[in-house]
Amino acid sequence: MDFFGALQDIGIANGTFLMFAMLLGLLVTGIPLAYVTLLVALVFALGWFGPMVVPLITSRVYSFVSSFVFVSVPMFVLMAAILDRSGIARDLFDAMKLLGGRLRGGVAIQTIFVAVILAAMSGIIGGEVVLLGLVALPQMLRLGYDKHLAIGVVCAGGALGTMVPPSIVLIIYGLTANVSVGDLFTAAFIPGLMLASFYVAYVLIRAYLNPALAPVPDQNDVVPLAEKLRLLKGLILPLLVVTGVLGSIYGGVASVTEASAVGVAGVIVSTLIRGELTIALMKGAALQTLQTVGMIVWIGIGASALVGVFNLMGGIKFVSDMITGISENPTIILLFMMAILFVLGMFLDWVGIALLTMPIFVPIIIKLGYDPVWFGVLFAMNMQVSFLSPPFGPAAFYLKSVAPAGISLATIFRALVPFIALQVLAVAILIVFPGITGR
Amino acid sequence: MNEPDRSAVETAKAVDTVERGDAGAIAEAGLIGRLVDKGGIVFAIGIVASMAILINEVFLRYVFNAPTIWAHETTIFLCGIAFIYGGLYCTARNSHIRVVLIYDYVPASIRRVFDIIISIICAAASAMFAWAAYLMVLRSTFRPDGSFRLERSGSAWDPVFPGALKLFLLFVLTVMALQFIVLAVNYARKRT
Repeated sequence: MDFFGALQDIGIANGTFLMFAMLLGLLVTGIPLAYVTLLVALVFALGWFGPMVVPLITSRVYSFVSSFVFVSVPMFVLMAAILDRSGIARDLFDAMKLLGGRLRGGVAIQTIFVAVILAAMSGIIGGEVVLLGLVALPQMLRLGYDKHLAIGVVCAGGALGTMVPPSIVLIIYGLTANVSVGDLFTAAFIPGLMLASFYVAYVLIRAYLNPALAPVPDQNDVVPLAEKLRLLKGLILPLLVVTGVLGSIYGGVASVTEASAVGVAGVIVSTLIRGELTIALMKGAALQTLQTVGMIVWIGIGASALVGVFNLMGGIKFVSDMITGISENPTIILLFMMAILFVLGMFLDWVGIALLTMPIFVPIIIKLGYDPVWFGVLFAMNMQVSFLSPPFGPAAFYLKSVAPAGISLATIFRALVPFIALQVLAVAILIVFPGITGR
Repeated sequence: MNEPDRSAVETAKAVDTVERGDAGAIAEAGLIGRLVDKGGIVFAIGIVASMAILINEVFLRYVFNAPTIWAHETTIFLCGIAFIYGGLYCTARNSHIRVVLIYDYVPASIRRVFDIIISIICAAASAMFAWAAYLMVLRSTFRPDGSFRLERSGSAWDPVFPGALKLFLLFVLTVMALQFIVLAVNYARKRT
């Protein structure tokens, strides 16, 4: 019997199951995620149909890499890469010391504020977690903060990069769900700040209930006024960049893609003013950008190819019938989707999740009468959990790479538990009060 | 102010090592890997150039009220080739995202076998896709009568970018298949 088309005999239910089993099986052997999805797409393209559909996959790859909105992804990555290499974030952290002051838990709150400003400048995590891990974590540990609290604040704060606009999670969602990225950014603003305020509230409550967790710095750590003014300068450039990026998006002056380029230019000018701009810095940042977008885009390419084949097989219809069939109640269906996202978030990268599940979920969401923009914000909030949740929470791994030797991965994941709970709470609030997105 | 400056440099270095791994292609990638790694700078510059073009476009539109017809398509092309090349670049540097749940816990000898098999599988997949891209390129680079004509975008400017991007995809997939074969051979030759 010929292999081409032979798989079709097992039926769509078994086909879906086989596909899922292959994905998981190949994934745990250590094959890069991008190639796992490409390979499974290939096997099913050949096994279900035959060689004639393979060029359809490459056409999908082509259309995937040639979208104008997608150009904003390398821009935001480049921006973060330059930012990470400059002293901007470090000065920002020092400047925010003024805010923390002698407040109990002040340094932790200062860290969260810095994280929010960094998040409002660029839209990725990784660099942010590493930066906060290098700048904020040692200081909190030096002051005698509880290490779990300190670690959690750094990881959760660093992950905010993909929740507070601009965020590349929302950009990719906008592309797959075919909704306006500008609308998504507008809708995600308050939920992003809401999540950050949960972190602040948590730190304050913990610190006041148990002062030993977050000792107040000594009297001699208090900064004189002249020093304060000098520190304030560290705030000016980042705030100008934030205003430039978000202002041009919300003000309708430029498209998201153009605004992202404005952000890069803003960060380059900032480093120039600070006298840090060198060829070596730009080269390092540009090469890192190439690598990061290579990773993101190829996971996207693989997932997009797989979804294309799965759709041709009739799988999307099958799965969406299955999901809508579990209950008459739209809320149950919604919660079921959230559960799927939580579980996938433990194992897969968010790009893969977005491109694999959204072609199935978004049509269902629209059919149930929900707003796809609100769902995008919900998705981004859900992916916040995926950055922290074991066994593959990327934020934890980023922090581990720069944390002091005594801090193990197990410690980090334990420290993240309360923050994951706060993120889940934020997801729940978004579901109960969709009005938070302003929609 | 020497102290903070030094720590800023250290931060940059640490960020560099964490995010970029040990700079350069992995040893097993061989000559082809080193070339791919070197070539990365061309596409990295392309990303920076796209940024400059976009800024220029915003500037021309608002200051001179004279938007160009080429800016959008050029940035899409520059970023498109960078996206495609980025996958090859990550392959040579072994920096694609992978789940190392089992991989990290097996002894080095078995891991070597894993490496060989993974490389062979990926080589096969890349080769298949290269073939598929070849079929796509055939349609986008020749007229039905067989004469050569790169597919154009059909816009007012009408560049050959779509045809060129598809051709580039074929090229990258081919090199990628070769890269995986080189990786498989070098993993097989490696003594552990």
